[in-house]
Amino acid sequence: MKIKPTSLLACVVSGLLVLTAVLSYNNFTRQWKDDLIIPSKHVTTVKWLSDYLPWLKGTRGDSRVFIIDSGVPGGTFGLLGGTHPDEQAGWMAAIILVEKLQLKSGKMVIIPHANNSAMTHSFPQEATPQFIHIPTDDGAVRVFRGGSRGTNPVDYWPDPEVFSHYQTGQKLSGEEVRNLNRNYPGRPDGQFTERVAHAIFKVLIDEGVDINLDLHEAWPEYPFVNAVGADQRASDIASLAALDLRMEGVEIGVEAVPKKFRGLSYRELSEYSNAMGLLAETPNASQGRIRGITDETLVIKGQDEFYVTATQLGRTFAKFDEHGWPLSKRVARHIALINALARTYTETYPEKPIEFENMPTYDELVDTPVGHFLNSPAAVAGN
Amino acid sequence: MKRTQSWIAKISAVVVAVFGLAMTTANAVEPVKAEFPVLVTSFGQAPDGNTITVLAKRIGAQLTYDTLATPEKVKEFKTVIVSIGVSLKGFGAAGVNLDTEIARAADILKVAKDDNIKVIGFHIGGEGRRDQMSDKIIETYAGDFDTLVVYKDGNQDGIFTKIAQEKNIPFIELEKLPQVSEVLKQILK
Repeated sequence: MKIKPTSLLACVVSGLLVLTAVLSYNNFTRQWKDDLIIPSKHVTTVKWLSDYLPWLKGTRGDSRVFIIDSGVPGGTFGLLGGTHPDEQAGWMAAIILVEKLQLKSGKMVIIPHANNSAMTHSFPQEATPQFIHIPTDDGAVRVFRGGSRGTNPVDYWPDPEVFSHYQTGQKLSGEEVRNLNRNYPGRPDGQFTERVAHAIFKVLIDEGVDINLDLHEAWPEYPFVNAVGADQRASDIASLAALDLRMEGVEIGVEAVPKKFRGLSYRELSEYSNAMGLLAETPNASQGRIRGITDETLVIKGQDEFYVTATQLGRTFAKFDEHGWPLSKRVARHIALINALARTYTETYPEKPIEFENMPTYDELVDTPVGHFLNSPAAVAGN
Repeated sequence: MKRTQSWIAKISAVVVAVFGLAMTTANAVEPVKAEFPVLVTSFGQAPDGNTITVLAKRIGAQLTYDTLATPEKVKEFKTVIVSIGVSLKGFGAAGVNLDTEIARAADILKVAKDDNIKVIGFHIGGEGRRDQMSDKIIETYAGDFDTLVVYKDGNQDGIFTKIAQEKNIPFIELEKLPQVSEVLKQILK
């Protein structure tokens, strides 16, 4: 039997299409697998958001909640990373604490991937990296997802024309329906991202969180950068922590919570729970609008010639030079802030201490690749 | 014992001298002393006024903090500490803008002048509070204060030094931000 050339061509093209589809599917769904996090022996409990809102079980919105309980009565510090997963220093700082932090008193509740669904895809048409590779001291490589800003459209689609914040009716652009930090305090029976927000709200309530910090990153040209935002109850602690940091040579500003802008973690969680609300921002060139090549090198090294020029022209709020803003420096700032907040909280509320032990200092963190502070996968293999 | 006391006195003198150098005064005019009650407010809604209030509390001084103080409220006080610096988040939080802040600042300074209320300006936000909008407030009103206290990081171009010299205003420049506490002790005692 003779096969016509056109039929052969059709078969080849179809085969290539199927192959492309399979490879694309595999590539895309690789991001659906949770990142390896290797908790230290000081982590006393690992829960899931679905323990607080069972509806999330089996969804990509379910996420790990790591609890480090010193066993000594004190305050409880809540920490959110990965509210916007493409703000990588946030979840990296949270993961380092899960893997290294030791407490002398009080309790720490850490959710490294607050919006886990947003970890499962990269930003469409922004060419952001799917994965970040971080070598550890023993030469092994830890692989983390690059993440996106909002919930995966696979979990919620299509976006409405206009997003309306349920509790207040505030109107925002439709895509904000998938932005966790516009959906607080959420609803147990709302749309996908509202349910994630509600589960986090429940964590704060059930675990008795006293002070909650949401770790973010921002465009270098965004005015709220290298700063901590605080709700009114947290403003004294934030002011003192910022002073402490400035004594250590870490310049950081303090900003007030915008009362009329609703749905933000540090605005709503502080209103609906007993937790003081705080939010921190470091500069990440991979998010900015004038960045150059956007790959994991930009995320890790934070060097971008266009931002150097923009700084020279006075167009950035975070100053860029040839050294850039590497991940180690951004993580160092977040961890130094957490440390300072715990100190000033303990100073202000001595009856509810939250005291850390063996925390690396800012100087140790800033000049050391973050992989040094991560556990090696060999530790898991050896178990 | 006398020898120990003598050494303590010498060491104290050195510390005071070193500290005095670290907090540069740009002119020979003595900074004003605050009279109580003292109000802390903001020109520009940066929350640095809260830092001042918290630090004052640490040294035992109770100040009233009101970021949106009205001219009527200012009349209730003998001294006003103004934290200078614009925060867009602060504008959002307070529901104000640069124009309304500039108008409020003008009204406050007028009331303070009419009622002989001392006004002490603090700029402790560093370079981060030297954007165009902050500069507009600084250029417009920094010359109207009875004393200026400025963190060096925000005075790299010498704008405050120049204003203080031109207007003969007592001026303190802080090398390190935590020196705010020392200045507050000096002003509030």
